[in-house]
Amino acid sequence: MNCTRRSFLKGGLATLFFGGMPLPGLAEKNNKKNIIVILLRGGMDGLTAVPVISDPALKSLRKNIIIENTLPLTSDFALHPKLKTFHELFQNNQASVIHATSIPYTGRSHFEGQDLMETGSLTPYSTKTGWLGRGLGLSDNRFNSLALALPMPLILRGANNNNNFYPTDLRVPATVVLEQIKEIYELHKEEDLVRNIDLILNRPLSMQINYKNLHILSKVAAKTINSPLGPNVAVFDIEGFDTHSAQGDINGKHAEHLAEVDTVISTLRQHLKESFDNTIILTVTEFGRTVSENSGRGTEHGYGSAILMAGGLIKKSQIYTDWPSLKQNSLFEGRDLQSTTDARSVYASAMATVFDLDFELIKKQVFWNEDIKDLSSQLFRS
Amino acid sequence: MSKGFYRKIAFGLGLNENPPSDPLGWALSQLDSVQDIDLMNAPSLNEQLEFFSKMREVEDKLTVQFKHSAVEYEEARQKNYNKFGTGFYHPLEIHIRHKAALTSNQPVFERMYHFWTNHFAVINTNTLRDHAIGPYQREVIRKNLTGSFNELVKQATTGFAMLKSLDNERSIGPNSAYVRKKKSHGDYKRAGQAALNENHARELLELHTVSPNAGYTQQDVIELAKVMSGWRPKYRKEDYPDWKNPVHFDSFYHEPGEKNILGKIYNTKDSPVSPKDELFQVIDDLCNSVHCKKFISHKLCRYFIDDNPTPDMVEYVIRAWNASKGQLPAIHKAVIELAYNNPQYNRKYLMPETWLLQSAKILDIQYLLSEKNFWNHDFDTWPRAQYEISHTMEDLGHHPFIFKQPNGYMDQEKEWISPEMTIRRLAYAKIFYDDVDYSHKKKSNIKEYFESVVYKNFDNGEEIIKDLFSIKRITSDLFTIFLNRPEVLRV
Repeated sequence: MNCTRRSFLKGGLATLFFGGMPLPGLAEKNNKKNIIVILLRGGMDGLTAVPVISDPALKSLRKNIIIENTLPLTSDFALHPKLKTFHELFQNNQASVIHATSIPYTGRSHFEGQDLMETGSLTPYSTKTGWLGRGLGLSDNRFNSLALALPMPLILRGANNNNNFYPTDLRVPATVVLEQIKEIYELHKEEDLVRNIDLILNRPLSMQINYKNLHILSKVAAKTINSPLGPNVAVFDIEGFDTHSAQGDINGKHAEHLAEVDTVISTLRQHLKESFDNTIILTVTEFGRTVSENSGRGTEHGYGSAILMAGGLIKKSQIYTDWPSLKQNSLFEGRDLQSTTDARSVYASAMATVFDLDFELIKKQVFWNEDIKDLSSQLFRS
Repeated sequence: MSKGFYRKIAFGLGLNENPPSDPLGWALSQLDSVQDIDLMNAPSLNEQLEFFSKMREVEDKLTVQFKHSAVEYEEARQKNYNKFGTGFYHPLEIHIRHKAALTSNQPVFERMYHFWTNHFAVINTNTLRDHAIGPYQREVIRKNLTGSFNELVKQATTGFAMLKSLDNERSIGPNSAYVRKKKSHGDYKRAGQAALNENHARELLELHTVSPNAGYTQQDVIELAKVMSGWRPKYRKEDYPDWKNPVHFDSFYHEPGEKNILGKIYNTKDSPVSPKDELFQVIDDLCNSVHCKKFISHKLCRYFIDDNPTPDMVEYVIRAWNASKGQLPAIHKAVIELAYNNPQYNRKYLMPETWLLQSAKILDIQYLLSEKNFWNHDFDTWPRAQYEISHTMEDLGHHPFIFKQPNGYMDQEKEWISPEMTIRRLAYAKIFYDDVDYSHKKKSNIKEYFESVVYKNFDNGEEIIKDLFSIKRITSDLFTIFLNRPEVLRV
């Protein structure tokens, strides 16, 4: 590549992009409902994000990594200080927390756990589609999705209209060339590749940028969602929650990644504008972390964690939990926060709300009629 | 035989290469020895750790020197990074890896090497990426690919980079000599903080050997963490590695007593094992288990042959494993034979690095810097030109030294077919054009050039050439169209 690549940039942004795609109409007022999932890989520690303040056990088990200067939520729970926007939304009835929750997986493996958080299944590697993808499929693929990630996340597989956006500073070939390649793909019955070329050919202006950070990705997601034919599902992917060491307190690695979650939420709120009122943002993680800190000022893989939710479709600010306590005999296997709410109940209820589908249908078709509960009326506005 | 064989198990035939008279024999003969590669004057792990140690020592002094000015500190720190080759050495390692793939007369071995470096992925931290992952792959993985699988696992497990990245240095037996000493000194705080770290033990079971199909439990993970306690990087002081001897087994931190893993008890009173050898005994048993053989054999077939290998294919590799008592050349050869004898499996979607290397090999794309040009660097500034290859690999989503997860990169097509991934390959195909010698791409030669590339590497060469030249296009577009054809993306 011998330095040739960057020279493409000389022409400035205007020369960089794909030509000849239809522009979306000016954003009209639209009432479509949106669901935005933020995948938190590595095992997000619910007790760092939303520490319980009424249980003195936490402080004694986490002497070096306890969060000080927390933001107040309720008499029992507080919020990590890096979640500033989330806190503001909580005060305006636009954010809530499900605590002591997890997918029903206790194996403590990232790879199995991440497979299951995305497929919604009980058996690792047994399902090739994601719960969000199946939900989209159930709504007759009326809706599109956008992943803000380079590989297409498993959670969206199973839907017909998935797109992704994770820009690079490279120049895409001219339309005629893309069309010729598309013809070859059609001839070879390469359906997925044909679709990709179509999506590339039809990218809106908002996606024609050549650099990225979470702020930009969130802004593009919001603008794309706001266009009338835009997606109503978006998926972000944030890594790095696996803090076996140097988890830190208000400035450690967990804090940095929570700040990223807050950036996504705050940018989405700013650029979704009125659409924020019709949106559910929710976090998904594979498991929580041990209640006690380890010798490296970190935590090990655990079980129960928390789901952070924001958006105008949140019913009210609340910590929704059947709190299991941190007493030794209440901990899962004597070490982890218990899960008292199947996270899939929350996922299914959010999809029922956004896709206007019957909860029972989702339960049956997306989650194999497993024992999950309809929490729609407790958690969301219809 | 399908001409795709050369790309299925290697990187295709180069512009000046003739097809071997005995393709299968040619491929099989490449797996018995470790080829010396051009190291481009790269430092060894020990040398790298010496740089790193010295860099940290300077950095610590800078912290004191510039404690009143964060801006000046940052500037001085960056200069220090430049001086010790941050951003220089891992692109050098990519060059070594790619040069070996492209110029080697054992390209089949290089493909196997790529499989195993992905299998033993070391999670990226900046320090490891710049100073340890490349040497780990070259000095530990590569050198152990002609012995037994068991030995490979032992070496890979106790390598500096792996121990460091999976936190085994933080694992301390709760009844270890360390804890007993702290208690006897009344230091109950430190004694209480000492604990096992399960991370490495879990990955050794799940990713490197038996896989979750073995049905191990949380308790098995804990017991294996006990076995592994004491294996750690060695430091001179604080976190400055002891570069002369970077890994050691320190029984001071080892959990004594019996350990029960997957139903077998190790280090019993009747049959004591030295603390250091416990891990090797357990690894032998894990590697010899039917779950391990099945998991690894399946993974090899999936990587080389098809996303959904048949049970017969997996069984074929397991048979070679059993007959050879786990010798890697025999296992590798079984995979190559399957690829050769099953040409109907020609839909494997290539991972980006393999696609890049195959493109470069068959089209004679010269994108690597020479050793002289690479080292033409002052170590005062950021190595911009050298770093370019690292950008490329990140852009393609397949950087061989930046693993985000210890399970490496997935090899199934669903991971790699998305609009953004498609954009990457479309765009890079055009960039490759710039790195092709003018003699190939000038108008009067271009068709002949493509013909010589295509006829020896693809079964439907005539169709590809006809398609490629049916519409008049500028030459660079020919590269874009050709390199994104399904026959090139798949094999």
